[in-house]
Amino acid sequence: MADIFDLTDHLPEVHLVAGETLIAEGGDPGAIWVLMTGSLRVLKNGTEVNVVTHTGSVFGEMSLLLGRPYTATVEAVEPCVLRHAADGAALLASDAEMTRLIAAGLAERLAFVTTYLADLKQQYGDAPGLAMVGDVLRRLEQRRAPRAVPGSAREPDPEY
Amino acid sequence: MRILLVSDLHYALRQFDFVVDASTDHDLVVIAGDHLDIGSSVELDAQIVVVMRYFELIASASTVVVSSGNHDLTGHDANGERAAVWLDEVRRGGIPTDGDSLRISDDTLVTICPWWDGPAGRAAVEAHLSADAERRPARWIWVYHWPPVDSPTSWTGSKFYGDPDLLGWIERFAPDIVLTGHVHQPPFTPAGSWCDRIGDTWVFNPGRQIGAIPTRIEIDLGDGTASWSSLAGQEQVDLRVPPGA
Repeated sequence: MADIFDLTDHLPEVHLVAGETLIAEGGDPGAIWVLMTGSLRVLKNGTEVNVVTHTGSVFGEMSLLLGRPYTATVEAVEPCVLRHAADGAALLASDAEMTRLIAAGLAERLAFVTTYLADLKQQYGDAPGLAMVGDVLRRLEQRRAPRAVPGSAREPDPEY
Repeated sequence: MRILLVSDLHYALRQFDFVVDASTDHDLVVIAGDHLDIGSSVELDAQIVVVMRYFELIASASTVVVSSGNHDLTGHDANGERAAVWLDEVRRGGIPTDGDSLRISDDTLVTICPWWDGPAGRAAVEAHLSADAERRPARWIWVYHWPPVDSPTSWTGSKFYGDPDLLGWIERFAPDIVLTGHVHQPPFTPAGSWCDRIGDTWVFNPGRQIGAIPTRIEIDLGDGTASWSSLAGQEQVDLRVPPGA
């Protein structure tokens, strides 16, 4: 199965220097970017909510699909290289596999949110830890990282 | 210095809440691994975000160090061995974690050991301990998830379930205090315990209980005492008692 690097190898690259803005919160969507090297900081209302280092991470897709302004500012922490589809809608319309990959990423992040919330209700009721829910949801919405896979080779069948 | 040791919170959010509230009363908070719960219905990636937020809250009130446990492994490191790779994000946030050393004042060094999962990881832990041994101050504290074998701190109630490598390193390097977790039962079982003395080294394991309040050990280096608290009661030892006394 092709991965996102295979599917975007025809796209031009853009280079960012440290501190350069990729996406400005409130801006109009349209493009999609795929991170090749470097790391990007995600800020909402000026507050950092995430740093993305995972190559293959996609940016701009949520606002594109929803037709809404960008919900966060994304800027380079260090020199970055990204593949750039200026017309993200055209890319998705022409490549079903690319669309599937993006949908899978979005579905994964939705699963993070829904399982978190469902468990909260069971664990909590009205306890103070609910105060962090808004912050956690903002971070989950923006989270891009290699999928966490549990397990130890040293203790593959642990008693604890 | 007052130290709070908890471990094996396993995404029990009320227990994390307790640690947040208790952190203001301690100079150092140590969370010795198994922050995540691989059996939970909550996706691990979501747990990670929540737990990291708790670490930030605790760090805003005290000095906090966190180590990995076997439940915290989420990917592979540069050597291809399983590791708690998400803790790199924690380190970037300014919280000492796996592989770090923290100097507190002039007289205390805290060495934070990961759950190592292969020969390269084991070698890295040994190198870290060796390097810190060269610069140990008056007080040397380790954070290491799995308690040593043949110690009541690793007694399950029917057998020792401990780490032989840690026992060897304790005997070789003789740290002052080792803070562990992993095995949940020792404080609650006959022949098990929340504390042990190996040579001059104190070893602690708070165990684990269900409910809103975690088992915990509070070490007061000024008074020279360590106390364990749980729903089953509270116990205390005098750290200044000579070994074998």
